[in-house]
Amino acid sequence: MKLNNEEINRYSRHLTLPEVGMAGQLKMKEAKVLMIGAGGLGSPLGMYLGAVGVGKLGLVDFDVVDHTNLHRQIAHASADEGRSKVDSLRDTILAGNPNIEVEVYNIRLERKNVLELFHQYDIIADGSDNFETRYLINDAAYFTKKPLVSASIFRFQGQITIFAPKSGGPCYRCLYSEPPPAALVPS
Amino acid sequence: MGIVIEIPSALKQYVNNQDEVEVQASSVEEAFESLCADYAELKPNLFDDNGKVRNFINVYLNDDDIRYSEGMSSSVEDGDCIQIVPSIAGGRCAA
Amino acid sequence: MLPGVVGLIQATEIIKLILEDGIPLIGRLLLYDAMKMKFKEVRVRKDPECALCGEHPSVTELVDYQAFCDIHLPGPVPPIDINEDLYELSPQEFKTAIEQDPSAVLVDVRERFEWDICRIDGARLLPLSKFDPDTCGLDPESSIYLYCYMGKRSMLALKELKRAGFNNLKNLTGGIDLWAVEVDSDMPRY
Repeated sequence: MKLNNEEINRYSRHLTLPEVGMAGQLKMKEAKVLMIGAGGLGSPLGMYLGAVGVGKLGLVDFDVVDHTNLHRQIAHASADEGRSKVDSLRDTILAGNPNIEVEVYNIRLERKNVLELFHQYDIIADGSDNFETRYLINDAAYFTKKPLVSASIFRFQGQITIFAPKSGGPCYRCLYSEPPPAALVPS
Repeated sequence: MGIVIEIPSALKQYVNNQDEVEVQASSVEEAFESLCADYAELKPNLFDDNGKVRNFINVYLNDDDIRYSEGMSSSVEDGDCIQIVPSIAGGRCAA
Repeated sequence: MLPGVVGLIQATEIIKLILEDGIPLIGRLLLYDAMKMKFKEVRVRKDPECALCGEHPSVTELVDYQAFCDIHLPGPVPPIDINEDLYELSPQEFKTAIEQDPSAVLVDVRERFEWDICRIDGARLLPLSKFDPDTCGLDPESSIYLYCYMGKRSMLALKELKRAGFNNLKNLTGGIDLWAVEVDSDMPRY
């Protein structure tokens, strides 16, 4: 795999960094990252991973852009209301960097589709918004031996960690063996 | 100076919206007894009926999980920090 | 703005994994508190008793995650079983009923921050989080019309009142959100 001249120019400030260099930039171009969630976390995550030149991004989300999303899900513009979030995020990412490949999965992540999907990527990023999906992602990442970069938020607090049992680290179930009871405030 | 217990935003409503509560105690258990004596509504959110810390809540003493030290009987001294960290997932949370 | 900060930390960790450089956030949980503007790190260890990656795993394939996450707090008393349909009124029916019923008492069971966004004229605020039929000051002889955001919390309050001996109870189907759509187009939706 090689960089074309446009890419060399685009990433030149990376190529001159000793921590990245041509070898590092090529690793990024070869990397395949699957992102679950194209909302609050997925917006900045996808935009930056795309801009720095991660070669392939997979976006999973079944939701559509709602007016109440716009104040924090910054990849989506007012004109995107009603569009699928993965389509909207893909367009924003590709507008920033057309050199990369973005695959969209406008689906709900489920037992029957998760393993096949994870096998096609190197790293899984969890930006989902519910516990069912978080445990599904954790278990599937474990069975497919993929590192899971996990972020979750609540009000003004965030939690970030990497689950990499293959490298000897803990998994999500080591941290929290069970989810909380169903939310006490239903609507 | 006592023991500082840091309260996550999900549970702040049970302690008059404070970020942290200071208590006097010599063990983690005593610290929680003191906390729950002042804020009774907090107790069922932290412990199950058998008095065990709920599975979606972790308790850290000076940045390490008490599960891997002496648990609730871990001793504490003035200046120690106990942090309560609940499982969160986007918009939904423990409380 | 919180997701921006957290999402970019996530992005940074992904790039470090790809570059195989730096110290990854493995075995460490980073806690970010925007209000205190504090970052804190706690240690996360592999649990030898973990159901998935422990020494004697019980989860050896993908499971039913809906069932796994369907946990309920052992509440003091479960809500009573009633035929909810008998108490539901559409927004238009609800509006007509409160206008024509001289003993009507309109009760909003949402939280105060929601009340501050919008409310139906003439309502009393009795948030469900602190709702107690015995001390709420409502008269069991009057007609109580309840609403919340989408109609679920007010049904819980209705059941509490029913248990406490109230009989004239009605619930606004779809809550104030549907009211804004079907009755009052000037009301903001949130």
